[in-house]
Amino acid sequence: MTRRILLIEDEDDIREVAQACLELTRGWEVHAANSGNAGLAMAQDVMPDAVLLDVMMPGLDGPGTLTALRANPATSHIPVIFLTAKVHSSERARFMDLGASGVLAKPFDPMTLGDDVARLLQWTD
Amino acid sequence: MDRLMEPETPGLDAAIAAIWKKHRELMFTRMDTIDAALSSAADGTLDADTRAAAHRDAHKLAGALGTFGLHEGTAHARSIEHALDGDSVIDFGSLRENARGLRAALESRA
Repeated sequence: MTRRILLIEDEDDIREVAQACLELTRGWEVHAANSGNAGLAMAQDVMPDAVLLDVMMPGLDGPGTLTALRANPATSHIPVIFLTAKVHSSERARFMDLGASGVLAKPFDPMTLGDDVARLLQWTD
Repeated sequence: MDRLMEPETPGLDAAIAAIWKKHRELMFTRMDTIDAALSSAADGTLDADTRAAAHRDAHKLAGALGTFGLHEGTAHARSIEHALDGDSVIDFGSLRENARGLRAALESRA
């Protein structure tokens, strides 16, 4: 079973590395968006198995994007993992309260990002 | 699993190297923003916009460099980010040392 991931990240370098490492280490199908609004549209088109979502983005930020995903019946069920360079415990709790399935820190290790995502989502395949 | 025992992922190192090459100039542009703030801080002319821009770019570098294997770069960038956070008094000596370390880290990767 090939997992389908939607990656929403505005920084080109991070988005490109994350996509490459998830595709190459896990063989997942990765769709990438460079903004919250583009991510919302793509989520509805692609119906991913999970969303990997940056927190700080211009315009619609990560928390705003998650709120919008949860408000749409078509995408409300999709698990979301935040990816952030600020992982203070208070922020982590806030993200979990918003409905995130987990929070991963930046910078991430390209060798283990896929494993970390699978662990948080309890994917064994 | 011990990193030394992990199976290699064909193509990953090459993919990351290509992405670094593509975005290396942007990394140095962000470094220049930090150096500009440092220069302004040195002569007492650091304004809020310059400080905010340097803080933002330090944050971006902190979140990216470790992914490219530049963990010291991330550490220096994070220190700079914290030093420039809000309107706290800046430890200029520490800021200068971290900026030097950050630039050295960037230059260490071709």
